[in-house]
Amino acid sequence: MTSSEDLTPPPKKPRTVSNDDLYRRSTQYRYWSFTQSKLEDLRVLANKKGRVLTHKRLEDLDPSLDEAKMIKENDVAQFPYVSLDEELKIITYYARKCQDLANFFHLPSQARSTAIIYLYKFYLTYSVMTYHPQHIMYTCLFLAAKVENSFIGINNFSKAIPKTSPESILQYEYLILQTLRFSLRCHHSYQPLYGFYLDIQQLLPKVDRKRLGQSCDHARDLVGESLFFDVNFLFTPPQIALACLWRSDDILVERYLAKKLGLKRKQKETDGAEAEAEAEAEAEAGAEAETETETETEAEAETKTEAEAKTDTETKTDTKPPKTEEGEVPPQQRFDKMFQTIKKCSRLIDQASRNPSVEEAKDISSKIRYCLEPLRYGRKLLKQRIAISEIVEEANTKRSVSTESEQTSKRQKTQ
Amino acid sequence: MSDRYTKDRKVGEGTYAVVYLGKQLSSGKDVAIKEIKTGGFKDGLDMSAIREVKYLQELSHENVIELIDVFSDVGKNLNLVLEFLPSDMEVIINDKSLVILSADIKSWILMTLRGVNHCHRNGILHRDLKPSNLLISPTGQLKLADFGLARALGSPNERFTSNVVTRWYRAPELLFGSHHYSTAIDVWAVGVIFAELMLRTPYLPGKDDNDQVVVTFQALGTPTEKLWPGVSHLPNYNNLVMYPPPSRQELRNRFPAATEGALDLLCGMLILDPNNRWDTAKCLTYKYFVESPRPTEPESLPKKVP
Repeated sequence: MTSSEDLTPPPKKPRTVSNDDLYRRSTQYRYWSFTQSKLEDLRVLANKKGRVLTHKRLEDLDPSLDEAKMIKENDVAQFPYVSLDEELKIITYYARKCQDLANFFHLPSQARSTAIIYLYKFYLTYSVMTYHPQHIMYTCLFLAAKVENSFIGINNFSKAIPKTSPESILQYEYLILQTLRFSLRCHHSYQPLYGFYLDIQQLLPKVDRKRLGQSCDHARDLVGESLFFDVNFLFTPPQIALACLWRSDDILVERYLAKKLGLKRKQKETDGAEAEAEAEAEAEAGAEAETETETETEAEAETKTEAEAKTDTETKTDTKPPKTEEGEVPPQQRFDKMFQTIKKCSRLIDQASRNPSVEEAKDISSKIRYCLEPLRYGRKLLKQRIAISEIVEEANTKRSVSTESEQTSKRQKTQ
Repeated sequence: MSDRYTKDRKVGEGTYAVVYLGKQLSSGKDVAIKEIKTGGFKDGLDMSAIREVKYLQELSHENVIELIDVFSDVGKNLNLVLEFLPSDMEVIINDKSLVILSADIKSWILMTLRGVNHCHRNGILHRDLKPSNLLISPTGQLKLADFGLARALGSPNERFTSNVVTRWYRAPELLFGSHHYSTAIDVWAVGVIFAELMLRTPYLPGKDDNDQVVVTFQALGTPTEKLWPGVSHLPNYNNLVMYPPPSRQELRNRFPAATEGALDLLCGMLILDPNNRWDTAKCLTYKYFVESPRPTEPESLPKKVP
């Protein structure tokens, strides 16, 4: 909005606006799409700001308090700051909670997904050491319901969630709006997925409807799952939809895209020299795929057993680097490029889950509380010290008792 | 934040917002600042405000009001900085001292359709098109405004409320209480506005919701299963008087100044069955817009003399 000038196309070109252009103009693309390194930078910075703020809270403690003294004595470096990795884990933990809560309120997937995305977006600016994700999550869900036309009155909303009040939820609404840069619209991948579902029926009329339906249902679940990874910041909704559909039914997507991009399936068989070159490339690609991820090779193995020979060769070519420019086959290149993107996206959804165990979540949660209220930490240290001194004392008395009894027994012996 | 703008004069106050006239200091440009009250609302920020921000942030077209900036002031109020648009189509239609030519009407309808087309391509329904929401810039550009009722096109199984669009501009599927309407409701509203521009008086002025049904079908015929498959299953399709559709001659009599092309476009936008109603792309590419007379240049359109 502020940069509206650089959106106007150069004056000479005829002004046709493609659907891709429309997406590039969306705030989701302009404000909330990043390269992987930029995304990391944002999180590192947010985490750093959280540490600085926590540090300031520590410094601001009344030094005469016992708790404050304890923290100082205990070496500040020992203070339980939340690490970057822990931040992501706990945000994901609350994002899952957010999903449960959305289901509890019977919110449609659009509202649920928007809430989860809001939560992740919020923590690209702030650290969990600045605002506790539990509170932010409640408000994100309340706001998302409103934004997506599934309004829930604040009283009913708050009543259903223990230990909240309308005020405790509403107090963050404005902060969240601001942090979202007032860009509220989220493009999710459900709609593109539905679009592909329709388009596949058009382009591949012979495809088994039941299989297509099942594949799409599964892909829909994967789209829901993809919310908990970074793909929404890195890829466009149709890319994510295709990646999910591919994970659900790789053969179908490969066949569909080949048809869609006008790939001549027989080409390889007719041209001998090219076929040889491709076989080489295939071998390379195969090796590449194996080293890259396990699941990918698994998927390919499945493909082999099911598919006819023709589709099989196609499956293999997709990891091939786009190096056949001389032949001037844009469809093939586009196909390859698209598959690179799909696989990259799919790999991200597949990466080791960020879900913390309950123990971990508890541990991180208490760290957050210590960061937000360092006095609690001091209190904990105090308690520990008291506990320790009690143990020591106890041990001492025990020892003294035992030595006494030893002495008496010795005395008895000598007597 | 607010040191970038001045708020000079209060020009209006609604339930959830106060509108000020002001200036953008960097450019000296006139702006309208909609200050949205955030405090004192039981459920937090008002829905209309949320919709307005949500959709205007995504739209950028010369026929849609520009949201220049959003900022918060000390009082934690939300401020929408909008381009300043001093007039609207309602004012122009009602100003009987203005002479409106058919080339002027063509220009306004063209600009309206362009704006609506932009919304629809972005998956946004306006849902409240009427002359008072078509604002006019100092250079004569027409711009869609007031996105407080807008919403995104949903997935096919989502229910929408049919209680939208100011009554006179409400499409028949809404009158029948349909929950699955789409972009066609906006096209209908543009059609009714088109008729109003030619007539210089509201085309389908129902006195209440029941009367709206009567007035609409008296003018355009009562839809039947044959004309509109599935219509009889809509919630409010009952106890209808069956009016015949108007003949071409009757329409010519009703709109004596309209060319055949204008009548075709009007009829296309007012097709009862939303599935057959023309979409904005079809309207915009229709020959009416390229046949003589050419649409008036925006700067030369009639405007209220201040």
